[in-house]
Amino acid sequence: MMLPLAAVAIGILLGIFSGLMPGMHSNTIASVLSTLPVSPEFFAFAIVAVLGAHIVFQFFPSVFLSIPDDTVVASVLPGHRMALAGRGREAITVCVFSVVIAAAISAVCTPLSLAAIPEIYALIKPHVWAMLAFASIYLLASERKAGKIAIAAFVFLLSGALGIATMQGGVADPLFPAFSGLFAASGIMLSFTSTRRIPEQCNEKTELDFLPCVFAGVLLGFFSDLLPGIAAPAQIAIFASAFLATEDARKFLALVSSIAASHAVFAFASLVSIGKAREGALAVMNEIRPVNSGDLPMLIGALLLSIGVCAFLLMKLSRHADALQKIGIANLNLGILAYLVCVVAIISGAEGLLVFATATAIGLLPPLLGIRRTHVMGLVIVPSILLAL
Amino acid sequence: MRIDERKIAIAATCVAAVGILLILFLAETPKKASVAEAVVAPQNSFLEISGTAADVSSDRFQLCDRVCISVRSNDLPSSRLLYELCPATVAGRVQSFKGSKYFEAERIRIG
Repeated sequence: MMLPLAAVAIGILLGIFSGLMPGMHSNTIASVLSTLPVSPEFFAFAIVAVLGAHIVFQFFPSVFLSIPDDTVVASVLPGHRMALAGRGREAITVCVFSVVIAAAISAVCTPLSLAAIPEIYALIKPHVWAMLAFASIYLLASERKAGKIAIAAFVFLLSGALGIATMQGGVADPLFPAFSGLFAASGIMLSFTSTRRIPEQCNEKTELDFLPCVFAGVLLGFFSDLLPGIAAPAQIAIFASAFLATEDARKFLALVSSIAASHAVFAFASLVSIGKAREGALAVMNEIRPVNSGDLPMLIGALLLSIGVCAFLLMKLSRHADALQKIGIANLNLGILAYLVCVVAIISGAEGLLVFATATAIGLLPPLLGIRRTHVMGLVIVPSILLAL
Repeated sequence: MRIDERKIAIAATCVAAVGILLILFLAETPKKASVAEAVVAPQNSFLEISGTAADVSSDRFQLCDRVCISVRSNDLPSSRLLYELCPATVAGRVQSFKGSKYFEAERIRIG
């Protein structure tokens, strides 16, 4: 009993670290951990805890760090928008609450999903490429204006070309430099344009009118585990906007957070029932310690424990968000950028740095051109369509 | 100083296009490596390795320096000229099957 608890405690610390560091992903921690001489049992529990902690703590930097100047950048993320309005703590509350509720509902539904996933997957498997193509066209069309659709299609295809080029080469852990550049480094670079300070943050109280978005998020997270390349919560949230009102930043954040949580929980069911690990960290875990259905109660329990502990810790941390005004955010962001360059160089080498620089350039385009960032997911979707054809 | 977002976007597009072309170019240029380096290289790495052939069969052989790696010769004409302990240089990609690395040959030079 002590071994799983110790592993979960260490996993939580590592997950908090990866969640707070923009660009760092739980997959990277899993890759590094897999090289250490620890028992497969310890490794499995630690990875699950990393995943849970990362899901919760990733919302802190996405609300309070790398905020661009909204006079330079055409589209500012909902979390950043709330932080600039002094409602960052409220945004964190919405995310934490949604993650906890969605993870709990998903855990309860896991036995049902074990039976449902193989049936649904068998139905959709021959049509995966068509579904991905339809989803991509829908995402592009969601820009509404012809000019923006054309720009979005260009960014989507450019990202797809980067995805194909990266998969062709032998870059170690190729998605790490690519995603770090697309989302983290580009966001940090744009944040240097901002001369504004984060205003004083109000208290964390919020209305609970976003609960329907949490329930929808659970369902969408389940479906995202059936398709490759459709895993980014923000990307799935765009589909949901067709039938759900998500203009309110709180509702959008609730949807994104609950998708992230349910995607992680149902990834266990997907791994056990159809052998597809839709979470990179779980894929690494399964290689070292193969998972079967009998392991699910303990592993999902460890995930919920990690999410619960981290939800409590993040709420405590968000009370000190005003301290961010006192430290130089520009220096902090510069430090994070330097750290990302170093980690990419260590993990993926010189070619990884080239992928990172190219991805950063592509990641700058959506905010500057006023289109959604999710179009850069062409990086994964285009190669997935080509592979599925 | 006012930052012109259009100019940044154009510059970013150019950097991205050049970067993709460079990555593609590097992906098609084999890097010289030892057999041991090939064994630990990421999947899909395009490498050129040298050693001596062993366990030669119609469609595969082992290439060894201090360690060995299984090479699939893919019916390349030059693979028919291989014999036990003959020196060979192979360009190809590192692949993996059930966790074991092997080398998918694209060019084989004997001697």
